[in-house]
Amino acid sequence: MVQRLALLLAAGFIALGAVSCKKSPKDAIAEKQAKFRADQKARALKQYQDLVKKYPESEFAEKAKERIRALATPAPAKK
Amino acid sequence: MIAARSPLAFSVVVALGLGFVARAQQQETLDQRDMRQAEALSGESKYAEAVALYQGISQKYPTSPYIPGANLGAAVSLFFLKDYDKAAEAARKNFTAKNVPPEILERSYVLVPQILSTKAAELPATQVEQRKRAFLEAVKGFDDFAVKFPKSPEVETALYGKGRALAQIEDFEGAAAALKQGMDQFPTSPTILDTKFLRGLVLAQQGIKAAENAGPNPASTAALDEAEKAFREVIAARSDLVLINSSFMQLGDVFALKASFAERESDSQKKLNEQALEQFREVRAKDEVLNVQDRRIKYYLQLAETARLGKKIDEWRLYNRVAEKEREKLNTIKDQPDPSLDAKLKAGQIFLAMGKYDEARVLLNFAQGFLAEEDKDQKKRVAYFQCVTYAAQHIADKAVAAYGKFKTDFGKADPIAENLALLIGAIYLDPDPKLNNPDEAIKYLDEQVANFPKSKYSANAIMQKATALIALKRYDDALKALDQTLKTQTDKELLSQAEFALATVQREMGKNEEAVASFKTVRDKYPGTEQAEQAAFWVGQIAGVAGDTATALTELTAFIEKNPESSLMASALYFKARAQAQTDDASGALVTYGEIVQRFPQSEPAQPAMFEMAAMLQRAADSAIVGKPDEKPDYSKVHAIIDEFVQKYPDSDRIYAAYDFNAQLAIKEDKQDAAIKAYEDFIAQHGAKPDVSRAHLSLATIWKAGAEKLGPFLVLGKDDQAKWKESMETAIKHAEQGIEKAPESDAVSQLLDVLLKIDTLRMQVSLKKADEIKGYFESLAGKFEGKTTKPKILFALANFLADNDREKKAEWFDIMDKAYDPKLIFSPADLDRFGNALVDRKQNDKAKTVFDKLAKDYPVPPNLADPSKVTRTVGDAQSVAMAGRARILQADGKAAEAATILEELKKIYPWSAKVMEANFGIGAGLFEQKKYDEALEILANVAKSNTGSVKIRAQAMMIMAKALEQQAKYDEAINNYIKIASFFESERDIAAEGLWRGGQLLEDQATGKIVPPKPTPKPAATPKAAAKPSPKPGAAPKAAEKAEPKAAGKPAPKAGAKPAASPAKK
Repeated sequence: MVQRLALLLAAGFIALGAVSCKKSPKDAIAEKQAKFRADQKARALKQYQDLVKKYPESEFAEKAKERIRALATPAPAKK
Repeated sequence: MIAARSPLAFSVVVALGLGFVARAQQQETLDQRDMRQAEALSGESKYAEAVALYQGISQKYPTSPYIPGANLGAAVSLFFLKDYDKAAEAARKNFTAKNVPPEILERSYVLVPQILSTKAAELPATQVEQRKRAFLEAVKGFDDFAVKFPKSPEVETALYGKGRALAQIEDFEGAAAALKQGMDQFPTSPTILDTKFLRGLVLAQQGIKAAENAGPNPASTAALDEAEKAFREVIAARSDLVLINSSFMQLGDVFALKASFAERESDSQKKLNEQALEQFREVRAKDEVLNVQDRRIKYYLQLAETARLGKKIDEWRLYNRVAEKEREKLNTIKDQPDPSLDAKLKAGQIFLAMGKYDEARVLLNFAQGFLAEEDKDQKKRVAYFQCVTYAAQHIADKAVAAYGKFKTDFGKADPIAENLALLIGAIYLDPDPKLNNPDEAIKYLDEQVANFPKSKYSANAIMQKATALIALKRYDDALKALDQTLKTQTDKELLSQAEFALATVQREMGKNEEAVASFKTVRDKYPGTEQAEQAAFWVGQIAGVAGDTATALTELTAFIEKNPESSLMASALYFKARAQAQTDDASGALVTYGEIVQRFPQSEPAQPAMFEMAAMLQRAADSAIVGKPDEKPDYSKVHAIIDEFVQKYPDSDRIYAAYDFNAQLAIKEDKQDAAIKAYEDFIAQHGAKPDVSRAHLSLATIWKAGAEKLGPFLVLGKDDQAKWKESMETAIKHAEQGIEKAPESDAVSQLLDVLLKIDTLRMQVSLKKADEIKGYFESLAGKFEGKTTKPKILFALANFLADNDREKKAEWFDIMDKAYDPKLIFSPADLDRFGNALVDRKQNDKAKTVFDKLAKDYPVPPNLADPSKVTRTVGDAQSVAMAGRARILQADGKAAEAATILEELKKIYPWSAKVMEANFGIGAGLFEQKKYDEALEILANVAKSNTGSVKIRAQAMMIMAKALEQQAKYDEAINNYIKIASFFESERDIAAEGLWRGGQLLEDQATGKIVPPKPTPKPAATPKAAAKPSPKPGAAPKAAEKAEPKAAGKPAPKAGAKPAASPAKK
């Protein structure tokens, strides 16, 4: 009995949790955008890294290095 | 010719025995005195006075026993005075006179036909019938004599005279028979050698005549052989130097004649010419012969004196007569030019016939030094043949000078020079570009026709002129010239040549159908001629080239069957094989090509046939593995053919092509080591050939490609980096060796390009510094001081500096400007850069000379009907020159003319990099005008073209990316930016900029400065997206702000263009 009750409670918590975790469409878009931005950032970083590696003599190499450093540094937490 | 047994060989004193009596009795009567004086006057050539004395004897001493002798003496003197009728009349007086001594009577009888014969010989050659009648009358006289005095020793004289007379009317058989009769009847005669010699001459003439009518034949050969035998017998007798000398000369002529009958350039012809030369070398000088002859006369006189002392009057008479005849020969020789000089001239002609022009000239020059002022004819011959030797060797300046001197010394229309202008004209039709000058050829060919309007050589000159006009592409004029020949000439050979040339013009004009019809006419109208045979070949050849392979096969097969001995057989087989290959009869084609190689290994088509076979076998091997991705082609048969070629033709012009074929095949098989070995073998075995530089170029390219295949240097591991460096070093070593071994080679520019690219790569990965590279090229240039290589190296250095001239110092231009030498030939790429730099500096006139020179240095071959069919290098040069001229015209404000040239450029050389450059310019212009869609359409074609330079294509892709960015098609823009580095990695500045700009746009997307793509991205529909509110208000307008000046202010498609996106963004 106790065991059964425990299972029901657990199921209820799960259901409650599920209800409470469901995102709004706005949140979903924001999440997608965040992912997209993160991907683009990673891709930008790769281009800069390729640039520095393949064309170290290029006039863009120094600027690319600056961007690599900037992108590698975690953004300060929002207050 | 030696005049033996002529009336000159006569002395009345001897005939009468006066000298014998005078010395014996020491008493002299008046009539006897007059006779002796008359004889003396005759001996001094005072014939008129001698005649007066002779004729006075019968008047002053009517009972004198010397009257018959006086009649005879008068006849002889009148003969010398060329009063032949009176001479014969005087001799005939003895026919009816009384108490004529038998000796005098016989002499008088035999003298009359001799006089008639001489008179006949002096009749003009045009009076054929009169001459013939006169000679026949003489012959009858000789025959009558032999009947009347069958036992007389003068029968020999009569037979000799008959032989000579019959020879004059070209009855050589009769002449030879009469002389043979004389030899048989008087085998011990002291003058038998004279008769033998004359018979030799007659037989030689008989041989010539027999060959003239029907070409060399058994009868002509037999006669010439007999003549040769006669002259050899005279020589073998070794008793009469005059006759021996003349026999050597005649033998030389006989061998030369036989050589001219022999097959051209055959061993037998060569041997006969050498035999002729041997005879001419034996001919002695005039002085030597005169000395010997003088001794010979003294010897006979000594014998006569001995006979006189022994009171042997018959012997005395005989030796005196012989001595007189020998004196007559001596006098004849004295009047003739030195026979040894004549022999040298003839030997010179033999050398000429053998194609040994230098040797011929040595002899001619030698002989010339000994010719006296009066030897005008021989001088003329020497001058003529000297000119011929130079013309035959195509030594234009000396031939022209010799021709000019000949005209000055002997006139412009001397018959001997009937073909000189034609020969000079032919020099300028030589395909060698240093000589080829059809205009100059036409000048001399016209002169030929003007000076000798009726000569067969002039008809030939008209033909040659047509050839020159064809070369000048003046086809209508060529047709006119041929029309003139066809209308004015009747000679069948010339007409066949003219019709053949007409067909050739039509072929050159691309009128294949008309050409085939004309060739068919020649083939059918002039059967048996060389032109008909060639025409039959061309009918098939043209059909094949025009794509009518079925007709080609039929015609060429018929040609091959009908003309098994044709000199065009190998070519016919070659074009038949091609037609077979085009009709998918590959196995038949291989057999036919193989037949060429086997039957005509030294023919011109044999070598290309082997390459065709190799290419066919290669295609067959490639086809065999289609659809079998796991299998590799089996090229073993291809290698075998090429290996056979290398064995068979080690000295071929195509030998490098063979090694290269094998090497390229090995590269295709991924056997780089085998390819390297092939080139190294070529260098080891053919190190002295100019192609060695190309082998080094190939090796340098393979080693460089091998290094690049490892990957970008900076991403390689340590071991691979070491390999990369080593391979590049090996490539550099080969490039340097290629330049050093053949510094004047065409490959030098490409070798320098390899060096430059490797050093540029090494600089980019910090293995070399720019200054080091500059120093290296300067030092390399220093090794070739005074050679054409130096400016080329300096141009290479200038190119390197230009490519890396970020600070726009333009030092490179100064180097180019100083190194440029209009006398040298530079690569089209070098002059492209230099010429355009001049235009940039507003030196348009100089730029024009540079582009004009480029077009002249790499001309479109004059005979090429379609200029687009030129080689790649010529096409590159012509297109650079055209684009350069167009640019100058644009700079001068003549846009319409410039556009016309550019349109022509696109039409003729659509594959040219210059066309792509022009398209790129148009695309870049449209971008500037913000006509992005139109710009994108044009630039996309440039970027993906195979013909544009890598740089242009990379630049096109960069501007495309910028255009897409302007259109807010960010994803596509990013894609284009970053792919520049993938597609055009070697264009480092553009590739780096692409990565930078791509990275910047990606960052902008990451930060939301520009909108992310929609689920179904339709970039073209997003111009408004920039205005949409972004998570960070204000960012989008900023991005737009950033984009605007980029498009407006820095649209330049230049690789070094700085990104418009502010680096100070962060």
